[in-house]
Amino acid sequence: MINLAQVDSIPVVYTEEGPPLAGLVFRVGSADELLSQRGITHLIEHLALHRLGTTDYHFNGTTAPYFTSFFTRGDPAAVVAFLEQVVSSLNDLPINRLDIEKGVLRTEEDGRSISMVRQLNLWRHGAVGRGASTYAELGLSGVHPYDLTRWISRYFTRQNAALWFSGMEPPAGLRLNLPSGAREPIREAVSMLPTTPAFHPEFPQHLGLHGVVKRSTAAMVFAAVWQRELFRRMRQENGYCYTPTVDYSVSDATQAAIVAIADIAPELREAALGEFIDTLASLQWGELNPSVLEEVKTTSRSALTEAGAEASRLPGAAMDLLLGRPIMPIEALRAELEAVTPADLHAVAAEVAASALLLTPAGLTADWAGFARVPDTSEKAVTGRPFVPINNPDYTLVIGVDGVSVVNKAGPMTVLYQDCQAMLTRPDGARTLIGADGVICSIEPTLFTLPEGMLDTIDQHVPPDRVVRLSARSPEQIPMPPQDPTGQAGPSDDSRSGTEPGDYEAPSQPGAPVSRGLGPVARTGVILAIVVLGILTAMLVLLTLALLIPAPDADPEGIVFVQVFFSVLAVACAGGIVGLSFLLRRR
Amino acid sequence: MAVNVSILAAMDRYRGPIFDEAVQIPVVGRADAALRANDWASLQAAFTEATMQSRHSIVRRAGSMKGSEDFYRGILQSNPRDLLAATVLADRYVRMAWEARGTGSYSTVSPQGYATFQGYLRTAEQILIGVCAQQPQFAPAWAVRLFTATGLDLGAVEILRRYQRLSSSSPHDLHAQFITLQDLLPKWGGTWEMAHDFVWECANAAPTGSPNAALVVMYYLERLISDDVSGVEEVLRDPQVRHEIAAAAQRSVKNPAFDAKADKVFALSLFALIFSLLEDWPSAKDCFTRLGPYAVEAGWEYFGEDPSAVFNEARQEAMSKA
Repeated sequence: MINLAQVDSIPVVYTEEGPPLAGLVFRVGSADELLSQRGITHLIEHLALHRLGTTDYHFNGTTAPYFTSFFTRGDPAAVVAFLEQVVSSLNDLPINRLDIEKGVLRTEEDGRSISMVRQLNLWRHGAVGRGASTYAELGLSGVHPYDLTRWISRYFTRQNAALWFSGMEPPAGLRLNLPSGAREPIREAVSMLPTTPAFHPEFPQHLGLHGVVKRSTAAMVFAAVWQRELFRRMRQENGYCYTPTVDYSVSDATQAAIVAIADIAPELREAALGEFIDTLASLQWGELNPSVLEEVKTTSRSALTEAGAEASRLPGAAMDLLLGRPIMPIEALRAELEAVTPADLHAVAAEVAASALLLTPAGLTADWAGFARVPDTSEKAVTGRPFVPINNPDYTLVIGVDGVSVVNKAGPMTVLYQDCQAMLTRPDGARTLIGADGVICSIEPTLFTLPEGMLDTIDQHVPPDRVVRLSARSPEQIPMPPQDPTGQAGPSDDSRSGTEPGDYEAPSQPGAPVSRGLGPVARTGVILAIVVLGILTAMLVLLTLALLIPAPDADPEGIVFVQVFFSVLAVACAGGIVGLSFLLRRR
Repeated sequence: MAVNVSILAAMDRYRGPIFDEAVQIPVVGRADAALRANDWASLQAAFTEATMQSRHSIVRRAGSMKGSEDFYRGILQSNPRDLLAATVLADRYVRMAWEARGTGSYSTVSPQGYATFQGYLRTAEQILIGVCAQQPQFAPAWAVRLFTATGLDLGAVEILRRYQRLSSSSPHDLHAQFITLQDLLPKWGGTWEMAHDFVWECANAAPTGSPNAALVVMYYLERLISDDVSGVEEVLRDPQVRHEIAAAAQRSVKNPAFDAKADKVFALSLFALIFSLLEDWPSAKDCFTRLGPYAVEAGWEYFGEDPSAVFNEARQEAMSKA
């Protein structure tokens, strides 16, 4: 069973059975950060572990949206040494390592790909809380040692920590001298969706659904049942997708998120979407095959009865302590599992369906199934001075006293200063404002004739803690206006793109295309077209030349006509090649 | 085919074939009467007793009855689990959608008409998502979802998925195949190849002597009247077309097993038409004779304002020239 104890007023959960493991968990994570601070918790986690770098311990740290954990494997003496070293580092961070660790984190960051889970959280939560945690670690560039100390004294406190030990009692003599503070509850998640169920077209080969449910054993069972049903119906029976996954994750003391993701065969995407929607409807209203529920129960039951079952619950139990949730005896969990009925699963399915955010395959809608489209644009533009980019009438920038808007034919994109979560600035004057809902307004001063002091207006209104100063770009990275009024240079007319500031890759924003150039498929197509046109041109030229050889009984006028006709065709083909090559070079 | 003398007399009077399924099939007639009397129990009884093809008919006829939506809503309110009521209500919405849109090409539809059209179709679709989730074996609901899929422009692969879901409980379903064929035609965003593959798959998969091979005829009738081909004669002269029609006839109307099958009128009516067009008068006469007074409107309506007149003319010619 799980025992409770305390070490230096820090609550402890432990089991004497299980492998010799220990962990220290803090109720803080990336979702607690302001967008302009993104990465600060992760940076602290890295710095806290730095001094352990050369020891023989097996240890690691993780920064999740709501929790930061340090854990190790070893005998009680090693555990004591590890935990005391982590706490001592938190009290006295190796600040001389700051720049190096920032570099390490940026490398880690580069490895992150744009994923469905991130997009789902971004669309639902915008650039706040759980949504902010999906962004790149923007705060790293400007973070100051003072910020780290402040963050630690607020979050890495005794009241905001919990310990767990498996295979041992809390080691005698363990002293953890954490600062005193207050328990930090998880801030209630904000939804940026005007209504649910909602949809937005996103990736060409994936579809995903994010639902919000009450934390419960039934909801966990539901996730496993849904995954089995998706696998059977989408993979085994129809081959619409390869590996559907359904994940249940705790959001806070009372809520959980259920996220289903399927990678789909692009040529069958309409059918994949149809079957996906029908599968959820079946779970909500249909008769459930009793054997599926029984199979899921069997799997979950063994996880609750096998050796080490109690020990494996410890990290989660420590987190529950921090959320103020009671630690349930394993027998109670088993009883809850056995009590789950098909009716419970119907109820969870109804919760998922009602709160659903569905990211449909690119180009497909789901309004027909009762999902409302998430708006791509802001409700309105700010009032202020309008500026049209030099030689590019495609969009207008509006700078006002309340905020900034970029207006194009699709509509306005607005960031109000009071909602601004981060403003990225460059030494060349570029400003990128990111609003709470994830809307991005980018200002490239080189593309406009802005009056003196216009940018100051913006800087005066954006709260200073939202400003992120990025390093200088190389001259070729700074956009320039097109040479003539019809030119295509400059930013695309999609105001949520064109914001990537050089040394960091912005996550794909709502509405922003992942790539603005030709995709690999389009590129191959263009190259193929050039080759075909090339062959055609050569053949036409040869034909024209062949017709120069006089045939004895031919009509001379007819031959000239045919020659002219072939020549014109050859020139047209060559023109096509030039045009297509231009398209390739634009990338 | 045994023919009631009074029906023959009626036919003589109006000089037309009987297209109406309520006259052809007694159970459909009873369902119609029940509908007119707002007698849900009798409608359910007729539905339960009917064959799958007649069940589709009953749903479609219920859906086409103007003003009946309140009646269905009432039934559904008192019993939300009444899947038949939900399905006919959805079908009613599909009809109302098309009434709002009109049957012209997209360019003839007003923006408001189009919005109403889409709105009704979505309502219908969302009812049917629930019905199909509750009872995945309820083929009539899947059949209506073939209509909503087309109107909502959900794509050919989605239409085929719906057809497959339907055929898992109702294999070789002539009505569903007929709608799916329509959905796969270029006029609804499909391709001739897709439609051609589909009709032959249906024809070959059905047991020998089944009427399903008549879908091949329907496919060629669609080709004949489409804008993509230059003329009826050109298509009909094509040896490949003649060969496929002959093969389809051998699988169905000219097969000894055909007489024992259901839904013969559909196949005989289509073959009577295509044999007339091909000027194969003996075969056409044979089909007309076996049809007696009955026929389906499909196909005949493509060759004149009044399908009865087209039918009668062809019949007369076949009878005299064969």
